[in-house]
Amino acid sequence: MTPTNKSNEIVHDALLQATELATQWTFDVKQNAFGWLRLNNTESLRPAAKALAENGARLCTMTAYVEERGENSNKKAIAYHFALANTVVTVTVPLYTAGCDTPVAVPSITSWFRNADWNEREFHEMFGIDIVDHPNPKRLFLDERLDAGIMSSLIPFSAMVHGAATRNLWEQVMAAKGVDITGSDGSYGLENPHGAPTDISTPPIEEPTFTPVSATAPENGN
Amino acid sequence: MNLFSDIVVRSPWLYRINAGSCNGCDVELATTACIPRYDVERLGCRYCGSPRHADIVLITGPLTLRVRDKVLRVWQEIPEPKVTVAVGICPISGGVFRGGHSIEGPIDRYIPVDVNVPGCPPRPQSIMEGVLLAKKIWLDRLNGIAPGHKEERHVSLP
Amino acid sequence: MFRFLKLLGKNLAQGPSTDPFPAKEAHTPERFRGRVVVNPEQCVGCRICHHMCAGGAIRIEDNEEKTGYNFTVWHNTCALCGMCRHYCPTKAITLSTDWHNAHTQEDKYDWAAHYSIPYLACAGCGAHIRMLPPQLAARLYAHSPVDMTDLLKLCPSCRQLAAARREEISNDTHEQE
Repeated sequence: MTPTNKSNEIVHDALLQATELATQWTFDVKQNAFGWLRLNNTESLRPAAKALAENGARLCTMTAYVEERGENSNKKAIAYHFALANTVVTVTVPLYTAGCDTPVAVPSITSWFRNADWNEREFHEMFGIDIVDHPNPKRLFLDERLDAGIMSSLIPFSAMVHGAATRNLWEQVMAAKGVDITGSDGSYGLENPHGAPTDISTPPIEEPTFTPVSATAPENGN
Repeated sequence: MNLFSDIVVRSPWLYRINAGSCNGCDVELATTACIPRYDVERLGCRYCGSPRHADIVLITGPLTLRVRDKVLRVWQEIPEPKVTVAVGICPISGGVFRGGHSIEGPIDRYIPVDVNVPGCPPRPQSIMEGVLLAKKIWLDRLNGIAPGHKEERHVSLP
Repeated sequence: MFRFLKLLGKNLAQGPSTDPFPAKEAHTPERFRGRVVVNPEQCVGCRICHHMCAGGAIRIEDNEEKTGYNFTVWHNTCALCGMCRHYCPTKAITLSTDWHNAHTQEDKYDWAAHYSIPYLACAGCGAHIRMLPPQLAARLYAHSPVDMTDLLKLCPSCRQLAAARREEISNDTHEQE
């Protein structure tokens, strides 16, 4: 389908010139147009963002998601949702190259769209997506000592809805009663059924030491 | 002098540290202190604003990674003999946050705790019981009945 | 001008507003959510409480001989939310009004309630089952014409067999008539 009005045509042509890709158009029952553009590589995001900014687009929001189902799938993508005067254009950037699972860094579009700053930093700290040329690559919430992408490594939904609870400290509670549960998964066997990373072993209490912060992490300025 | 100290019991000053608490327990601590209904000053206790004046320290919160070093630094500034009270289930075990990615607690991994007051939050009277228990331990330490374990209470800081 | 006298009189009549605790026992509302208490008679081991518990305060595990299960509540990670009581189908879990929880560090891991709940050997095949609590059975089968006393001591498959046999006998009697 082709765009039906003049301004959409302008955007269509601008994106075609910038990325050499034709935007797909869909229409709802009221004939509102929606543009969809899927880029081949992350580098063509720069010209696309530039072309959209020059045509007066606003960035609504960005969505990071995993494209392929499967527990260890690393095929992430970001969808950039742009709003123009009378249409919405979604530019999708896959963060991998075909036939390869290695994640690819994505250029920052904050220099064209200032509100991308928050989302890009959030994606970096929560999902470990690398952003190139970000003007302010500081963490938003997470402490510097926590690994980036911690949200990708949390408990699977199935484990969560099965009421998996951490077994931390239960060894000591049962030891106080004289029962040794180290190594036992409980014959009911339902705690932590998917091997979710909820067991963080408690270090020995006699040695309350920890590594200095200043040596490993830069000052985060907050 | 002994007779005098037997007659006049010393008054511990309280200090509270928020180790990443949701504020629920802090509100309960404030009610034990600040409103006439509960009134900890009857027990000879008093809240103070500086860790260097404190005798009993009340810690709330599960000890998050962000506040860990600050909490430990403030705790070290409190002079010995001090008594540490963990208020709420979070400092004791981590509570509902146990095993979370930014939780460094339970607090006794780093700090020798003396009294636990579980609850989410504990009611003011329960905290007062904990403070009374702490006061007893503190007086025993002052009188040399229970040693302060100063060496064991060392926490290494960056 | 004499308003303060009125206030003074009112306050004198009212008495002190400070809660006398610890000199006297504090008032505890009837519905206060205190320490969790389990009635082992009523528990059927369905684990819904363990499933619901946000703090992970409940542990249910077979004992070593597999003749029963151990039910443990660790009060030091219990948020007293009452979800276990709410979801318990047999009303085995209640929240007491006991809030005297302050304890020394030595008791930290002892601050738990341990219950040992035995299994029943099925009268038919000997398999371990947890019998339906009698109170609950009385409610469930209040209008049942069949006497459940012996049936409740059977495991589900033996009960099925018993039901089939019962059916057979009643069919035979019908035919004879």
